[in-house]
Amino acid sequence: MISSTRLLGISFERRRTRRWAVALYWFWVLVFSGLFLRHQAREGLGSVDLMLLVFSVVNLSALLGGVRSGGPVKPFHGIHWAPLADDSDRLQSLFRGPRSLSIAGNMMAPEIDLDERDAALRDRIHFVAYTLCRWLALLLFGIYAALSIFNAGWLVRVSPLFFFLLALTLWSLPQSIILWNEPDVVEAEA
Amino acid sequence: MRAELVLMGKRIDMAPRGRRRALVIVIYAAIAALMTAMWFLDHWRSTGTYVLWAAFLACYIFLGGMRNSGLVKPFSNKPPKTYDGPPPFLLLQLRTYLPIPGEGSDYLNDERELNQRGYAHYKAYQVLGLAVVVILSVALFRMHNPEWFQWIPMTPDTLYYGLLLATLVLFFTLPQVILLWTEPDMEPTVEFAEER
Repeated sequence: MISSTRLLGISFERRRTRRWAVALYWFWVLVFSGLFLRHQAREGLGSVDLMLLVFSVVNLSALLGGVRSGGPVKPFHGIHWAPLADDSDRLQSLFRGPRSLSIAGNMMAPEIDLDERDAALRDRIHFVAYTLCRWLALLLFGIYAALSIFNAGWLVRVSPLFFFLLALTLWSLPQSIILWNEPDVVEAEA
Repeated sequence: MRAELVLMGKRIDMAPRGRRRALVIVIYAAIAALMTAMWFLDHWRSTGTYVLWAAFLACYIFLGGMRNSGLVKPFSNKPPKTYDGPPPFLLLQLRTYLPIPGEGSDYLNDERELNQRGYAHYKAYQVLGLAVVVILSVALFRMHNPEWFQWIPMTPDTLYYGLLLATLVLFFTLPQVILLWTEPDMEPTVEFAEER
């Protein structure tokens, strides 16, 4: 389930590296959410903030792979576009040499179709992630209901953060679980 | 997945896919009607949770997936909890199917069912992932350009509350619904096969 593609020059074949990446990712998500809430409470939401948020939800989770090709996790559903893949030929053709006609072809990640074992693992992990997200949604609903009783004025400002957290978790959790649990690639092959 | 449902002491043959699809439509229509009614009653302020309870009840009696009752076997694949007390009052009144704990392995999913469970959750996950992003976009755009949404006769917090409620209902029911909707016609139980 782990792609052999190197992302930004980093290999994700070792589990330790992957766990650091996952921890860093979620730390960044928490920091980003906190900053968002603080900024929104003080100054409201501007056009730039709006674009940044949509950009974050769509692209941040893609860093882990799964929803898009080119990340450490193989794409879940036949997506072959890999803009962040570490492809030296492509970089060379972009910045040094003349542009190749096959540049679009280079952006296609190779060997990313899931075999039977990968598909079964993907489905099993989604079952676990679904269960966790369901509890998160229930928790958010409880907090929302409590806020509506005790401090209804806050609801209008806080509620987009709820959906932001839920969306980012939904889009990132299966990949995170896979990256955290899969053994080292060499060890697994042995 | 079970091919029959017992309600009010009457056994209902659910082997044909058409019946299962009709059941799904009726359940979602009932929940939608309940949400609409609760909106007119008090804008979901105190009645919003009733919608959630309705979803739980639908899973408990019809859809299954959570406990060892309903059409879909429990997703957890664990044996039902045993207790010495009498059966729950609700099940007694509705006279639903309640397998005796410890008898047989009716709760167990075989390998094919486990694969189906995983795939249904994968599909449901995709649907909910997209739905939440759409809801988030609505929330953000409403915050940024409130005048665009003046035609909606709801305050923002009520709208978000309703959307969160609908998301939760989907969270609790969608995998079971996908399974019931996509599973082809099943073999009927012996009694129903003889009747046919």
